[in-house]
Amino acid sequence: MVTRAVEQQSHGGPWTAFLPLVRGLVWAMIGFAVGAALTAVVRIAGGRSAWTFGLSFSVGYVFALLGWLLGVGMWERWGREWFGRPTVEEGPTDWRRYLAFTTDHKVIGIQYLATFVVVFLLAGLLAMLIRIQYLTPGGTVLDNATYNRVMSMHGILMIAVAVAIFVGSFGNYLLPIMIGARDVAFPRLNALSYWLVPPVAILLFVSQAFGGWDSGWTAYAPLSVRNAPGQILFCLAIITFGLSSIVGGLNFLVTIITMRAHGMTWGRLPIFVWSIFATSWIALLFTQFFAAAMLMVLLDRIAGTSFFAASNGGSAILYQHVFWFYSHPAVYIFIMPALGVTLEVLSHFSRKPLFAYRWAVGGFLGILAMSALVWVHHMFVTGVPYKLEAPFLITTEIISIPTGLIFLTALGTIWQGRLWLRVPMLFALAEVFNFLIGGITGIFLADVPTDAMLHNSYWVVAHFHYTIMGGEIFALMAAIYYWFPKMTGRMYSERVGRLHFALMFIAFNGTFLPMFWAGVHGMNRRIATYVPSLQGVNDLISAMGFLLGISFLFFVANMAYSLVRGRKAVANPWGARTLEWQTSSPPPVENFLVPPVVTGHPYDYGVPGAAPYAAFAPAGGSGEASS
Amino acid sequence: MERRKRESAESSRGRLTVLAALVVLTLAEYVVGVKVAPNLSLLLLFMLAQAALIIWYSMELPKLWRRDEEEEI
Amino acid sequence: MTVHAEPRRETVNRLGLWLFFCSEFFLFAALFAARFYLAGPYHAKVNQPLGLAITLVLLVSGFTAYRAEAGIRRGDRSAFLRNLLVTILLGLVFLAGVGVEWATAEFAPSSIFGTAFFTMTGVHASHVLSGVVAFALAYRLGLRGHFSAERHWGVEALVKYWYLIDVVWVFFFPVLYLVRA
Repeated sequence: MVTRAVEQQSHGGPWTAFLPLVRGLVWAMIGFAVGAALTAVVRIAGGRSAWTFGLSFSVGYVFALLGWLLGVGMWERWGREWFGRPTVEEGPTDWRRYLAFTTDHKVIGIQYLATFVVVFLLAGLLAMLIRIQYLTPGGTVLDNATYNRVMSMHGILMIAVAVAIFVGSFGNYLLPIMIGARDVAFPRLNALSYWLVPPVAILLFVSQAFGGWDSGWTAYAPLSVRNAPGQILFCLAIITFGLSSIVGGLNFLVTIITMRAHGMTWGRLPIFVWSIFATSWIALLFTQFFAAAMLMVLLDRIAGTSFFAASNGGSAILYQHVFWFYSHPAVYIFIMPALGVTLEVLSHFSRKPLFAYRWAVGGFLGILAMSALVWVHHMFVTGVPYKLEAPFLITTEIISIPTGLIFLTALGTIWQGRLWLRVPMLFALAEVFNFLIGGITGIFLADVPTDAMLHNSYWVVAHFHYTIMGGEIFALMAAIYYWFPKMTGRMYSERVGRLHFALMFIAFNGTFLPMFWAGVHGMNRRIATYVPSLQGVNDLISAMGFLLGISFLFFVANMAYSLVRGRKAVANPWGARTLEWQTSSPPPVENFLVPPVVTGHPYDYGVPGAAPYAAFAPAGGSGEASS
Repeated sequence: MERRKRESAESSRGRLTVLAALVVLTLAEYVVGVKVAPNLSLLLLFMLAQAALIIWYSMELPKLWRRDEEEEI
Repeated sequence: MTVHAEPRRETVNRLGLWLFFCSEFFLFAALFAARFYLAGPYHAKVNQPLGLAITLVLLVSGFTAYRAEAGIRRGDRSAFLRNLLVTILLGLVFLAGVGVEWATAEFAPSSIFGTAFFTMTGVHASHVLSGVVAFALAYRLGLRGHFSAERHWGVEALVKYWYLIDVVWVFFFPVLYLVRA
């Protein structure tokens, strides 16, 4: 397959791979000039100066974004249609397609994964910088202002990774295969959703040239209305990223609802698909609130409105309401696919049916239903009306019930299973362990009296790193190792993988467990310095943090080496039942040479007399579901 | 073709009725808002009624789950 | 329930469009809620008759948009183009009305009602503008013989989007022009 493609594309050197990107950048610059010029014309007509940074840049950016998308390949695939011309469907089929506007969901999945692993590692380096800073109480390398910018950048890059890496990469790559479809419902929208990401990264990095921003990833007003102009770029980046999320969520929902294979009833969906289903609703609906919050900040900065200007009757607390109305549900965007993967891996590697499948589905849907009812718990100490506190305390406690259902499903699946402790399973078990700590320490933040003491302390930092890093990133590693053979057609090195796991697990807990202690003892989050009495624990945290960073070197080395030199993987190295393992590794372009017909339950491992999960009807044969 | 034309004429009349209802509601809403009692809950009734009319009839929400024969032909 | 591996394209598209509308609804709901959070039911002096006029224009434009869609559905290209053109013009009239309102407003964007008013009408008007631009592209395509009784999903989608703009305005008009403490 690949060799034939290489022969087809032999004209032109490897440098042609970068042509779409270069054209995208050039068209973006043209677009920017057009937008800025339009602004100038309107402003001059109104008797004002031609250029004002906020407005000119924002309008220029809108046109630049359009130029980038069209230039990178949307014009051939899509834009020509708007003008009644035939679209161009052929593109590179060799490795160059990873740098092009392609519609194959597997390519887009890999694009997402590669992009966000790089972003993750970069943001990790910033974390190393923060740990270096904390080697002495007064700080070692960064002045206060720079520290704030570094911390903010680390935050938003990691949040972006947390939002997109599961849904974008594994959702894209696996979801259509897992439901037996050939592609997602809207392949071009899918490509659009990926190609909206590079402008986000570019904006965030370019913003550093305009003073960056020092308001954290949360960008609370009124600071975000008054700080350096880099904040404007941040707002534009987030709105763009939100658009990408919304488009992705929409695509997955339609795909799951309408594109399932014959016999793939809702009760036979793999649990990972269910988790993406619940996640996609959150991405589709609530992301608009983050965009709205950023729009308000932008308007306050460039159009003179007073959303957050208290002197004119605005309210900075409005920002927090709008912001957290998205950003709390967003944490379920982080964790639900992670829990879905964990349940997948636990069932496959315990060689046991997934315990209480229906309750786990109920858990995901329960989290979805509750997700928008808890946001005020982020604001207990910011001056919300007293009467709001008790209701949101209670809803926050209640949402742990559906989460607990999923957790019990995980434990029930492991219980009396024949555990096969390969690397994916190790990471999945660690996820369960870490997430338990993350969950329990969250109770103290949900309860108003304890939250009043712990708010903005390192307790919070430790808590959300346990849930997001300990929960999501460990599950991400499980997913990468689990599906690496499927995606690349090669096996990773089990020995290096175990070493990575051991180092990462120990270093992770060594880093973040002491942070609870530091938080209780008065260590504030987002401050460049700390009281000298906490130096001992901070040095321990830093040492463990560096070890955590080193553990990823093993990961990167393993992946890079195995990608090139790993031994060839068979179609189903894990003996798993779900559909993605019933096709070759890596799967053919159309995923299945013969469309599958689902006839059983995905997790009937070791069940006597269980029907096979899927049958493959001969092409053109009857595809009747036996249900 | 002839059948399509007739159906189209019928649904066009239906849409005109919907438009008339919307206009009447808007005018009534305006009178209520300007002259009678411009409070939110009262106006909300008008808003919801209008939105329901548009979503149900104009945007053809039921088409989402109903398979219409016209396109099957 | 039977599950179809290859659903009809229309079904898929329609579901996607409605999900997009759900998403848009949340954006407008955020602005709607922010307006009351900031200013309560207070509103400054606005040109109520002008508001009523542009509301009626938008409602009528919905009907002409439908007539355009019905035209292409029965293969009547001239009816399609004629009604589409009227819709575009009505859309432009609406935008002009908003422009007049903006130019003559007696309150500044920095006032608390002005913040809500200019943001809500601005975000809505940007949607109207995008709809007008899309209609103009569709008009150009229609002139060149694209769309037919069998293939007109693009027109149907645009008309539905135009109605979404209607629905939003149905909520925005009373809370910006009429509601008062």
